[in-house]
Amino acid sequence: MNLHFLTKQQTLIDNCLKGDKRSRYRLVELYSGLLLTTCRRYARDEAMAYDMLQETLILIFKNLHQYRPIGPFEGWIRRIAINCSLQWIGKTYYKREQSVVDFYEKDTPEPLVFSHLGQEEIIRCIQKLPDGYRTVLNLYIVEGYSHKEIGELLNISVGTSRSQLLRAKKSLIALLEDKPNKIAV
Amino acid sequence: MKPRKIEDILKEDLKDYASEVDIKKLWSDIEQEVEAVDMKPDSDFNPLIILGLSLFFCAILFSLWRQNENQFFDGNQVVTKTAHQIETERILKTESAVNKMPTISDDDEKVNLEKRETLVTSHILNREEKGTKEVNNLNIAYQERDIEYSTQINSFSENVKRNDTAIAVTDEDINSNNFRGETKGSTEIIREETSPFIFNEIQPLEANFVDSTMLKIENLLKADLLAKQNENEDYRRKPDFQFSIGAYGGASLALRDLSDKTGDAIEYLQMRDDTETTLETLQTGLKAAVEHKSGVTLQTGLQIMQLTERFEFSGSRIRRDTIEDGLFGYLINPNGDTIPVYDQIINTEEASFEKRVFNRYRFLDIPVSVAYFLGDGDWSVGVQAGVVVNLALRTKGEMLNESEEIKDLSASDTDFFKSSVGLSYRGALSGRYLINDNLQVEATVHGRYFPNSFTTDIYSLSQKYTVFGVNVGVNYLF
Repeated sequence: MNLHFLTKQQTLIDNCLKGDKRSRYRLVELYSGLLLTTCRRYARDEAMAYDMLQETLILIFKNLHQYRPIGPFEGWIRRIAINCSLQWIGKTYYKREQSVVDFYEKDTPEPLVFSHLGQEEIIRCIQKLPDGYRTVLNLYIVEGYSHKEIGELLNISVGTSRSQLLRAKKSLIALLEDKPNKIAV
Repeated sequence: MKPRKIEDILKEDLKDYASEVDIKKLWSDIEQEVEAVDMKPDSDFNPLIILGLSLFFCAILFSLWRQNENQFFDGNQVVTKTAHQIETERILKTESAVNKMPTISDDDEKVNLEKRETLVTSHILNREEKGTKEVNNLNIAYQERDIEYSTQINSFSENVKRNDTAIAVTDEDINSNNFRGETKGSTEIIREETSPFIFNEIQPLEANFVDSTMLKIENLLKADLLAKQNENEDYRRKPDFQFSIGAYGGASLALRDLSDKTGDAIEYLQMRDDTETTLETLQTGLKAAVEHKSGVTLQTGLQIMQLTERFEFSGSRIRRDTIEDGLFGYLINPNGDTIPVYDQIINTEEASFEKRVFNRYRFLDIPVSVAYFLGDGDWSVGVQAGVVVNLALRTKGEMLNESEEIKDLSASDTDFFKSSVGLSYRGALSGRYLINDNLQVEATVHGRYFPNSFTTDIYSLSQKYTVFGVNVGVNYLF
């Protein structure tokens, strides 16, 4: 990311803050694809993801004045999308699994899959996962949160987070296996 | 195909993957809510507004401080009087003294005086601070002033004017309870010449004479009728509200702020900066004002302003003329015959040109401002702060569009500029000089900041101005 791009990005943000309509449209145009992917990873279906995206964009414009250019803008808007998505799907379902399953991922052999899977196929498979699995899977693997952070965020125990992740991975691989010629474990 | 872990696939393939979105539909779904979002106000530092407001509040504080001067020490306690009370007391006292003056006998001058006009003047002779005294934990500085009151009685007949200076009293006289005054009179006899050659010329027929009579006025004036020490009012009397109208004109320097709205039009912005130069700005207007005697003034009016820019562009044009069945050349066949050959002929001509156009931005404005003027006598200075409501903006000239084509600004199909730029902020410093009772000249140094862009929402650049200039004008006081 070069300096010119950052200057342009900051100009765009400044103009959005000043209420410039064209700049706001441009911001939506630039980042809604990325944000929709994030929302789709957390949503049960496409309609829900689209609702999440709308809510995310409105939240971004409402809170844009709080953005400080010390970190990447994409990271900031992605965090808003994640928080918004979590609020949408609710947190209650995580509590269904209260028993602490005390095992570690390294105890389980890692499955391998082929690399030529399409992103759309992967997203559709993720959407088929139960809400809890899908959320922990996204937070841990894609967003890079630790189990402790996930536990605090979702108000569940660290063990629950670990077990949800393991089951999520197994379920996802099982779903991907249904795709002929694309999965090998 | 190399196998990968599920983690790697999710991280690498999904993290930066952008899903397809129907942007227009999405925007139409959220536009209303996004537009309703109350964004952070424009944080651009505007020194002009801050300077104007600072000066205005300084002026108000100074005005309040000056009001404290009306607190004075009467020997026993602090007395606070409003300027109106002081002025009323002064008039009552002096009029009372004048009414007790002896009537001038017409017989003395053997003329029939028909009109009588009284003029009362007063002068502060001395403003020396006498000391301070602590009252109610306040250190009050008090002044003792010598004040001279004099009355002048002018009497007129058809051809005679008598002028009498009646009283001259100082504070010293009052304090010592030794009221003595002096009357001096002069009579000037004038007559209209009836000569047809010097018609209406007024000439004195007799030399002036001075009638000096010492009058004891201790019976005419009582101590409580005259002002005591520490009177500190400026006796130049002002009406409560002074109405005026005026006309002004001047020149300004405009600073243009051209910026890219979206970050996508940097090159176009550079192109416009390279081809356009901001020149002078001229403005003229009419104004109406009402000034309270405290110095606070409300002003409004109608103003026309013209901002000029020079557009210079060097380019080239290629002109192609196609001639169908033109004479292409001649062939000579084996028999030696000359045969003309006709074909399509294309003439290409490239012409370079230089364009130099003066672009005009014309404004019709209503300025509204609050001012505070300070000054005694003929001179006054003031500070103004207010807004200018733009009724209309008209543009004329040419400039480049994003495709580097020259566009006529006055053409109806160009959508670069708004028809009105709304509110702008204005601050000014003024100096005024009163030529006579009704005429006043005024010079103003002013600045005007346009917070809104001149360009439309769909245009890629934002164009704003800050204007600094000087106006001179004349005011008529009612």
